[in-house]
Amino acid sequence: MRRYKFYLATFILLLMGVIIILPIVGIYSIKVNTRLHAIKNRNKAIEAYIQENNIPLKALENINRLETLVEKAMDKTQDWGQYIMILGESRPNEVIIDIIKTGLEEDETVLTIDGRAQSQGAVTAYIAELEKSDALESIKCNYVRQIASQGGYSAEFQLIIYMGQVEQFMLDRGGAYEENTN
Amino acid sequence: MKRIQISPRDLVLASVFAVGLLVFIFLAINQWTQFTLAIGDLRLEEERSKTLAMDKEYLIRLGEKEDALLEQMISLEEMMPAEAGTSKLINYLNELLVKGNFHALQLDTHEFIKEDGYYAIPIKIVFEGEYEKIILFLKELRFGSRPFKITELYMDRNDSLPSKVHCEILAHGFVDSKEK
Repeated sequence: MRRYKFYLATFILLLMGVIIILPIVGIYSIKVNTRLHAIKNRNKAIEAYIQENNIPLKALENINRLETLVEKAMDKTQDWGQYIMILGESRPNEVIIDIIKTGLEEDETVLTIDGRAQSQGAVTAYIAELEKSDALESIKCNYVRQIASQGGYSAEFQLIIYMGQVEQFMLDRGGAYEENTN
Repeated sequence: MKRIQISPRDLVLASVFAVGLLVFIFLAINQWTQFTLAIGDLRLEEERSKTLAMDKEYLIRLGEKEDALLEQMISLEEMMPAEAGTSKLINYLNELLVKGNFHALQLDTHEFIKEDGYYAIPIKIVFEGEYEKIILFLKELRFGSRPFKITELYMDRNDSLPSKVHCEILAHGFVDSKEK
């Protein structure tokens, strides 16, 4: 009989426990769901704001896309203006350039220069000046030969200019151009 | 051993209590499950809320320099326009040739080359002009508002007209291939 009473008491206690826990959990559930609902609404409002005011964001995305595209398209590009300027600046008065043209030598773009000089020494001086330039990797003289003097020019020559490593075209991510010197 | 005698009435009562208790326990478990799910959702939403708040703040900061961004975008769209036509490209080159006081001899576009994300437009430019101005022209092609990639270059001079240099350039202009 005592055991029977013990089971009965445990049974009633459990029942009371459950009856007490249920509303407590229920109340907390309501609170949590109310807060959840409020946060969801707030998030929706922020999302709507972002959606409505995304012009600068879209612009930024487009800027990044176009910058990447321009750099990819330009790839490794020689600054031909710079090379042509060096060829002119290093040229002694005794030398004239007749032809400058690009060409390929073992998959490397090179510049070929055909010209005339008053003497072979002037060609040597020209090559020496060109070799001082950091922008040019090396200079190869294909030939220097004597010709019948025309207007004081008695030698003709052909030089091959190797530009070496070509720089990757880079845009200044601030808006203006710059070159990557790395 | 003493046997406990339970009356049928007590047995029914105990069964009702037991069933009731089981129902309550089931309800409590269900309630708890719902509660924990709601807590999980709440945490996720709170995290999302933080991210969204940061996005909004970032957007507000971006909005402050919207004009500069749009200006930069326009400048990049000039470099790589979305229009497939070549008239703007030709106009731009013509402007440069006029600016350099060159005598334009040929300005021909070749067939578009499809690349990943853009089209390359090969263009042959043949003109005559002064050596120094050709240097500026080449610089402008590379660093100007519409960059060109020069793939071939040929220059020669004539003894009868030493100040004029004949120049032939094969360059690539670019057009964005993204459909609007």
